[in-house]
Amino acid sequence: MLEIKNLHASIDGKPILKGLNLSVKAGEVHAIMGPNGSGKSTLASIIAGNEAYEITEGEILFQGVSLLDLQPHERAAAGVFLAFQYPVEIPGVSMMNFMKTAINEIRAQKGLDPMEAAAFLKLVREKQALVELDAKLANRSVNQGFSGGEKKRNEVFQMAMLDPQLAVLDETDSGLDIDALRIVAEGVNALRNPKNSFLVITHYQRLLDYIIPDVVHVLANGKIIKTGNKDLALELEAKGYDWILDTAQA
Amino acid sequence: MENNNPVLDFKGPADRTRHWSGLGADLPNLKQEEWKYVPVEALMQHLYPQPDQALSLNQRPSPEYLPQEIRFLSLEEALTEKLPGIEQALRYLNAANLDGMAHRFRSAIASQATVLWIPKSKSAHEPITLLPAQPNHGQAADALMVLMQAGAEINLILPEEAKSSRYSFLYVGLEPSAKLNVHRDLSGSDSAMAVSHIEAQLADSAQFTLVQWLQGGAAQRHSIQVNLGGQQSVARITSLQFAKPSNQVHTWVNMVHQSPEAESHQNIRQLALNSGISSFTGKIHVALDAQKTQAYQHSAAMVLEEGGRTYHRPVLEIYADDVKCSHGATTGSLDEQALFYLQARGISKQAARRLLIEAFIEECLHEFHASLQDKVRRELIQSLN
Repeated sequence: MLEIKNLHASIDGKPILKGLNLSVKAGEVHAIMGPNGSGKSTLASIIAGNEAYEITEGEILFQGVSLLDLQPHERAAAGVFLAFQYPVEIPGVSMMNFMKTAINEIRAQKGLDPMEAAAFLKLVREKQALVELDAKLANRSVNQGFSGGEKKRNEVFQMAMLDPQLAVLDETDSGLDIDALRIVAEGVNALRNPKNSFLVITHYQRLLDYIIPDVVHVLANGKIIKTGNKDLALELEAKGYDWILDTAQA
Repeated sequence: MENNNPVLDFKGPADRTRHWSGLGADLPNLKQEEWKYVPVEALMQHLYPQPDQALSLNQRPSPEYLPQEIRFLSLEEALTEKLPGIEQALRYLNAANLDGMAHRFRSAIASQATVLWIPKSKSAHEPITLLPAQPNHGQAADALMVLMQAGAEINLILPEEAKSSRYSFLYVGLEPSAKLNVHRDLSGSDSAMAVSHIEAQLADSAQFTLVQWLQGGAAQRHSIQVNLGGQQSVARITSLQFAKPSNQVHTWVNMVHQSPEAESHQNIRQLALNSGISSFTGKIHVALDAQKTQAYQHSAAMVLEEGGRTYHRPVLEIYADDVKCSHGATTGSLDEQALFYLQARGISKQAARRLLIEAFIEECLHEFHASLQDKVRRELIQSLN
């Protein structure tokens, strides 16, 4: 599904990723943990195609196609989704217009006709229910006036609407209370199937109580320095990152 | 900016404006940004140097749709018929304190203006569209007086096109509780000059709304004077200005609160492409007696390409002590984070850009009559593409 090989990336000349390798198979959930500044969000942004970062070396293959050759909207059409750590507020663009445009632009890239209004509304209602998103929010501008929890639920709602092959969740748990965390996690779990994959970036093991990962990676100083199963997350929670950083340096 | 013209050697905008308010000053070339400082009256002075020189106006054609009892006639006919309000309007226009633009038009108004007269309590659901006067050798000039008796209510659409040059004057006289919405749609060719002055006089509880879409033109220069002379009168100015490459679009507003408890809103959106210049100068004047005034002004600009320029000049002159007045101005470019967010959802960069620009103007666009909203949106998008 996703193959990242020796990825080096920098921003404003400052190297962030320094030879990152990662392989995610269809149906798998991978968690990426790591201390602040290790490059987790950079990785998420680069997969989605943020042009602020310069790729200096390496490649990202998604279903055999080089993602680096695709524009961000083409990556989305190919099936890549990024749930933003800080969802952007866009005053004046209604959620409905935004979602309808997104779905129809993706369909157009695939050579499909625009989705019919009735089918679209049915899909909206179905996916709103999945993440218990207040239907009134659909009438507002994108993320404007949303609480922190509503913004994160809105990200999962969008993910459900677009039904991606690979979803990258960038600290989707940050700023969520326990109930909101559960709802968001249940939404993600409902979307899991053998054909799609998730890359869950998080600081805390707490999210992984709800979204059980198949593989846990530790990212530090721009590289994956350790990979394990879900027990690794528990170990990190108990011992912090220092021991693993020391081991890696040794 | 390199400037080889000694006339343009000024210390600041106030100096420049003062200079061009005087007689006989050479105007800057239309391609020079300094043009935005030239007051309309100085411009008219330049164009028509003789005080008594009569302007040659073109008549606006009669509207296709004119509800019963509403009159569209020449000023001469209106005077002959002694239509209520006509003499009062002329007395106002002949008052000594009118600014230069209105002064210049005075002789023309006296002989050639057309009058749209709406009787007491007359309400028209459908908008009245007044097509512009046909230009004579590329030049069009017209003067229109809209006189509304107490409680009357209409929507007026004014499509205007400047091919070479266009000068227009609009006087609005609103009796108590009259309500007028003017929707103005002005596009200019890249070499055109468009100059206008709008003057509105509001009685008690009258409401005046002006919504304008200004695009194109080598230079557009518009002044709007609203006199909130009646208690609880309300004025709303919405200006959507789009300066394409080498265009200049400039609007000056003078919102004068003369009576208590009146309310005014100025809401401006400016867009500028490469080498396009747009400016807004908005003054709120609150007289000593105009207590409980509410006056708000907000101007937002988006520079869409490098080299585009936008300006805001808010001016508040407040003599009353129990008022609510505010102004705000913002300038920015397209939000890169928002662009990426939209792209990450499968929306192409071009479509994302369009969505963000539409969002930027949305609040203003809603103010336009429904029949114009799609047109404005379409013209904007076509220009951006």
